[in-house]
Amino acid sequence: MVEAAEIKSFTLRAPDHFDPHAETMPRHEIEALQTRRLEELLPRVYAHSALIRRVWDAAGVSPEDINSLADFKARVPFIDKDAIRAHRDRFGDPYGGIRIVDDSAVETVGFTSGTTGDPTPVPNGITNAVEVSHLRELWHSGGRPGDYIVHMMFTFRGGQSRNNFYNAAGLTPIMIPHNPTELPFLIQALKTYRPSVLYMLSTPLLIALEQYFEKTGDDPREIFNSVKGASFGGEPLSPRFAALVKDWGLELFEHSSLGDVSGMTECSAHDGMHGWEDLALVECLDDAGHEVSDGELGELTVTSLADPVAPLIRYRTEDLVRVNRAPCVCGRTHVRIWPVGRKGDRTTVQGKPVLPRDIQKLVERHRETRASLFQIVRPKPEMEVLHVRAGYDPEATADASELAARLTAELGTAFEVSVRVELVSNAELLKLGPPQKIPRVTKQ
Amino acid sequence: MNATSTPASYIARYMLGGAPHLLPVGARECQRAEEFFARVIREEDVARGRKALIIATLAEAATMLPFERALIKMGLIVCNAEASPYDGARTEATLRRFDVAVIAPVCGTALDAIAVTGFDAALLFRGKIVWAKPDVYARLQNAPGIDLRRWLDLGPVTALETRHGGGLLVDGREWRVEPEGNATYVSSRLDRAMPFERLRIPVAVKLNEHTYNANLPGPRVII
Repeated sequence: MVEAAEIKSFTLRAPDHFDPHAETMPRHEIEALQTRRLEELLPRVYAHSALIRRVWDAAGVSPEDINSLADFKARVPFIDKDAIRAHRDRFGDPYGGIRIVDDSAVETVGFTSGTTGDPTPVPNGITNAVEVSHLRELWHSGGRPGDYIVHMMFTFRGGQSRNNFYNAAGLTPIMIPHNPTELPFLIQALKTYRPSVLYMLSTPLLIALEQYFEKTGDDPREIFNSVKGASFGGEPLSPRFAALVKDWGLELFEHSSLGDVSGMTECSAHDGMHGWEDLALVECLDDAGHEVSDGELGELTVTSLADPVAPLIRYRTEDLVRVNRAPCVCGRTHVRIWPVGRKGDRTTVQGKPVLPRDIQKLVERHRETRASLFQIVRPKPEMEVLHVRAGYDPEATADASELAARLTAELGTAFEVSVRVELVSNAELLKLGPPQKIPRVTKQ
Repeated sequence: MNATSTPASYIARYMLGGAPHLLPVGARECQRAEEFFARVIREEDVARGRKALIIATLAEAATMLPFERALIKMGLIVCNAEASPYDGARTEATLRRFDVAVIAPVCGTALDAIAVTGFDAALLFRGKIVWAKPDVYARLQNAPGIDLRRWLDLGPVTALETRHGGGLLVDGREWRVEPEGNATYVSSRLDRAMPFERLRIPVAVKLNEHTYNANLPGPRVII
């Protein structure tokens, strides 16, 4: 339990909040707001979302049955990505039956990243919950009106004009593609405009930055000395990169998607990512759909509370997380979330569970594989041998077979299972997926 | 380039000689570019509610942000794919799932990415207006059924072919274009966050300054 004095002490040191009332409202106010938003939203969703109406009708539920948060959690059926895809394919609706407005209210179509297969189109209106959460997070990591902000993202997240909200908050974005080949341009922009926030870094970009500083001799502390905060996303930050980036003088704020409803990002306390509960109803559920206690492992399940175009209702994300709803020392009262891995990435080897992040911290210890590029090759979830395809730097490797033997021994000792290590060059592994997200688990 | 009092709304870039250069863009010049693109799109008689697919990167925001806004203004719904070797599947899926009327600006990287996924861009693009960069134009010009148009970046200046032909239209209110030998010099005519004075572009063009059939502010460049 966090003491009030501790919160006060930390809040005095930490940057203040972009929207103090919303970010620090007491839990009973959060829940009252969620109830009001659901009361307003659910009849509209039931009336206009073909997927939700079909799923609710099959479960014998209608909006009139939902009069409280407790009703909602007890009665409303779940949807997931498979349900959206199945609806899309069965009825020929590209949006998978989640859109609740006609196309005249849609300006752009964004896409999910495609982590679990076919990218899902997501219709966007003029505003959305992502902007609200993004501004809160930028402010907390040091962005202020008048500042330049590096915006290093993908256009498929919603296009170019979805970034107008930066100007509305007095910020000037520097638009850079999220691609390691863009690094010299990023450095040029950092030197010229001295931005205060860098959004966002990923493992491939950190690998490229490390190589850049080694080759050029540029001082990273000098390059980054205007940057008060940088977001990191795509996958968990590895311990080696966390230490490396700290040495560059960068404060990293880990960031992830809140089930395609919004974003979630660490605060200055670096003790979990805040999910905004005025924008999304967050549940952490066991396999049977029952809420687990704070601190226990469960599946992140989200409901959009501020999406007027395509709200997701009780959407099971397949993200395994732990949550804590106790107030944070930063003063925020919204749930903190610790992502553990993807449900589909859970692998059992000789009866023992293995997740990619467990392998990551072992692989990156070695000079030759420090880039931490690897995959679990898993034809089926249960295996007798842990098959790891590890990327290595040929220039840093004297004897590849010795490296393979060393990794095999270390992984075998750590997990107490049989291990097979397959080495491929880092460059080869980066061809297997987009630079921001190498598939960590693959069937072949 | 001269000093300016126009504040930057965002920072993008332009390419010159294969190298990227930072390009601050002001709100008013972005608005003017949106108006210019809207006039071009209005000439196309594309029905409202259909989709447009932009294949680009954020770095191209100086052109693509006002182009996207113009498409939205003309009633089209904009989808995006990344002009990267990894995003061919998204491009294909968008074209398969949606009634796409316009695709722009297609570069060689995007075309190669589609091929990697096992699809033929010449078939996917059939029945659509496709603005293509010079290398892609050469690759697609014999493909049947594509309403193919040229798209050319002259440093910070964008030139694009309209259905009226006669060359690639440049916003003549915004830019002065001067061909000289094997190069083209471009200058800005209105206040910009980054003004240009005779920026040398190593591309040879000819000018067509004849009056257009449509009310579009020329000139047109012929490559």
